[in-house]
Amino acid sequence: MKEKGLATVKVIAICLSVVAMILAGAAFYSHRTYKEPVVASEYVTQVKKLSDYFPDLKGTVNDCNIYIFEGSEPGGTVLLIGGTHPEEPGANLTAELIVENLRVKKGKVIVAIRANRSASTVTRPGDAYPQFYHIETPWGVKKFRMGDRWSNPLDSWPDPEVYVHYPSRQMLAYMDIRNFNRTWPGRKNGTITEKTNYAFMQLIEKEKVDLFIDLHEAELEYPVISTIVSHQRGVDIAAMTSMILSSTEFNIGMEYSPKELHGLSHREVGDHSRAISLLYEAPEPFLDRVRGITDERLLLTGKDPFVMKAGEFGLLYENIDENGWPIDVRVGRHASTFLTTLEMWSEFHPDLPIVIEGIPRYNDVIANGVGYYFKDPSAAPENRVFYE
Amino acid sequence: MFLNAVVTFLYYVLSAFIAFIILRNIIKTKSAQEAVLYCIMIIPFVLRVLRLK
Amino acid sequence: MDMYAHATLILVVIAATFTVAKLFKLSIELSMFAAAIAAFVVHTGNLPIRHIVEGAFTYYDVCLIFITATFFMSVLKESGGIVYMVRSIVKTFHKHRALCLFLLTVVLLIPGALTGSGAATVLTVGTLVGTVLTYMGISERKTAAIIFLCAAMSAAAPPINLWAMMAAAGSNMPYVGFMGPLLVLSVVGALFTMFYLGGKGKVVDLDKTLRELPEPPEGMNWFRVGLPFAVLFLLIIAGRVWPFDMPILGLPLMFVISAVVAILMSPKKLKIFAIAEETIHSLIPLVGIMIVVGVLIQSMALSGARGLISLGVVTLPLWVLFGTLWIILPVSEGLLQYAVAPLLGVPLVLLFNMKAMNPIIALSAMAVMWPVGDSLPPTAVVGRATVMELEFKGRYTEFLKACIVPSLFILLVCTLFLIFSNQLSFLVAG
Ligand SMILES: [Zn+2]
Repeated sequence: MKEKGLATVKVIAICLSVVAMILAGAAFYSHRTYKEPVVASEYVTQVKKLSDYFPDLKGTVNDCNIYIFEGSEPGGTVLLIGGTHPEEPGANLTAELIVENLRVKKGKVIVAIRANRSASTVTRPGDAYPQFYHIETPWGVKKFRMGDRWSNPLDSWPDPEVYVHYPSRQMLAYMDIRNFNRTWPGRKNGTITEKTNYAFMQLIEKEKVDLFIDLHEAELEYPVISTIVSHQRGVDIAAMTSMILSSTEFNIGMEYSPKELHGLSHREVGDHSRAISLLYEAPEPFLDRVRGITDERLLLTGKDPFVMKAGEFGLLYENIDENGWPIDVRVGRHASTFLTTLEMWSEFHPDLPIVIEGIPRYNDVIANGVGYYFKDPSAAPENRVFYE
Repeated sequence: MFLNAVVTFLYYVLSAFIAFIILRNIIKTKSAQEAVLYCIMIIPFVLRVLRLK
Repeated sequence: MDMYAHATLILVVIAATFTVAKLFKLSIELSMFAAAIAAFVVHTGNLPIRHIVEGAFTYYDVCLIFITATFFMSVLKESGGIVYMVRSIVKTFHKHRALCLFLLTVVLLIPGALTGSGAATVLTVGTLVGTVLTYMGISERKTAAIIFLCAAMSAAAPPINLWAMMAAAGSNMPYVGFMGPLLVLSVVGALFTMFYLGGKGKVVDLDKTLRELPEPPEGMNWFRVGLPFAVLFLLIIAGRVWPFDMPILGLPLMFVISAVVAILMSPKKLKIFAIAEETIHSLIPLVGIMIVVGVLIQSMALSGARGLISLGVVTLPLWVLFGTLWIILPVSEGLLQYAVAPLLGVPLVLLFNMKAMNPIIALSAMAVMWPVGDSLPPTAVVGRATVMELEFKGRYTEFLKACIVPSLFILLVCTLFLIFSNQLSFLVAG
């Protein structure tokens, strides 16, 4: 009888284990293979693949789309990337908003929505992220992959004992070899993440990019927040942008990229290419460690009483109240910062102007909601629908 | 680098080996509680080998 | 319901389920798992399988390091290398008590330092060193205390300190720079214990001791013992010196390679498969607990319970923490094992950052205080392993009493490290 009982327990336990594996495995698989449709603006000139600049990436998870918009008049070239850290939705949503609505008059604009696709195919164990988030649009609900800060271990395994950054040899945490904003300027023979940085450096070289912008969001406990981090060659533009925005639309700071901190885009892209590099940070309470219930609501509204309480104790670097930090506000900030940066760029470089249309500013995004700017893929001509 | 691919493969082999031993332990153990715990423990190793997570 | 009430409810559900499960004689791992499931069910009104399974992955890499490092130590033990080391030390230095005690401390520190587990120390070298210590005239009670506390310090010793690694990973902080502070604290703690409890005694009766220790296999020598360690060391160095020319091996594979070297160097044939199986079997309680802790953490993160604990911790005044951590950390370790590192460690690191303390020194100090609690019930994993391995006849409380003075000393030094973290910043390197 005892033996029999044990055998029964074992059989039941194994069955439950297998069922859990199948259900969870299916959830992981569908998240990892979900494709986000993007309706490129009718003014898009060309949509390339990242592997067009570095063939090694062909067929890999990180061979993302590169949207190129050329104006009728010549000018400067800007590259904007979202999705460096796919746990920061404000970044890829802003990049997609731009791709779906942009019209370039002068110069050239290049956009990547999911710069490190691999990191958008996984969520962080132990942190209970939702797998997807949903944005209301006039034509229905649009679904996006929530991601992690680090590339998927399935694409880059194992991590080294310590991560030695190339080429500075600075020692960083082992998992940061999968952090797309610690691996610039990349390495030709490196891991998938390092190769992706390398591919973007090739792109910057071949397309003669003048200005490089990397979109991010940060927890309120983190000192670098609501700011533009600038390479020393970009401080005039960043400072003017911050001044103008702070007096007209919202408060945003400006800080210098530290010289001794390696692997970050605002340092390495500026150091290793002709382009000036900037990085925008918007507040995302979802990333705070003291956050309460972790769900899609928090991700999109940025409302959290625990984070507010931490603010009352002076533990935060950005204000937060009952209104939280809704996704529309965060995307609006990025959109306006981008627009003002380009205006400043054109003022400082009249020979290389970049003039664009069709992108809403801060107040418009808040008034209409970011979903208002996304087009219905089922109603769009097939040749303008792309998948991220 | 080719060697990196070899190393990655070895890690899957290692995970599979651990999963295999946990499975043997499930079958061999005389304790119901241990059997249940092993059934929980085996999940991540199997899903990693199957490249699902 | 407001979020405070909700998160509090979840914490109550977790505590209640855990207690009830323990009352029904469920193991600590299964009780914790039951608590996590209860939290998931109460929070979602459903059974979120994806979250449960995702949580189980939280410490996957740590588990692999843990398993391979322990395999390496097991191979060394089975090949007779460790017996050889201990015998050589006794033979050469039996006339110099202090030197002998010092070297035995080093031997005790190695297995835990490499594996991050005090149990590994107790299981691989505990009995051998314990035998020598009793023949040096140290009472069984004190011997057990020495083995346990040195094992605890070995778990805290670098390069692998699982508490620091788990807390660092949770706070997006690199596990870099911990070498210095962890080394100082653990070595000071182990040496104090050894000399405080074992400083006085009689001269070793060499013949008797050697007769009592097992014989190493024919042909074992220092080269055969040393080469696997040398290979491990070289692989780690090579990865740092030629990072762009070497394939990325990762710590687990480095341990496996070193274990293969140890197998090749063994004078007797080893049953590799049997050792590997035995290793994983003996690790199951520890790997099991890490996997279950991951599930529990995921349930707490999802439901806001983790946030509430974090909030509670970071809003405490610093002096309260300095005055109470030395008791809170060991007791919580006894209660929850490694789960405490992400639960309490992560918000504390955050707070130390905010208060402009040196987070590496502060976390190191905490990561040395935690293992001291491994002798405390209800879990008492390493303490019980020690008493069992050494076949200590007395009562468990007697063993605990022998631990008190050195434990307090270790906790005091760690608390000083917490308070003076900035002044000690120079220890952070590498
Ligand atoms: Zn970021």
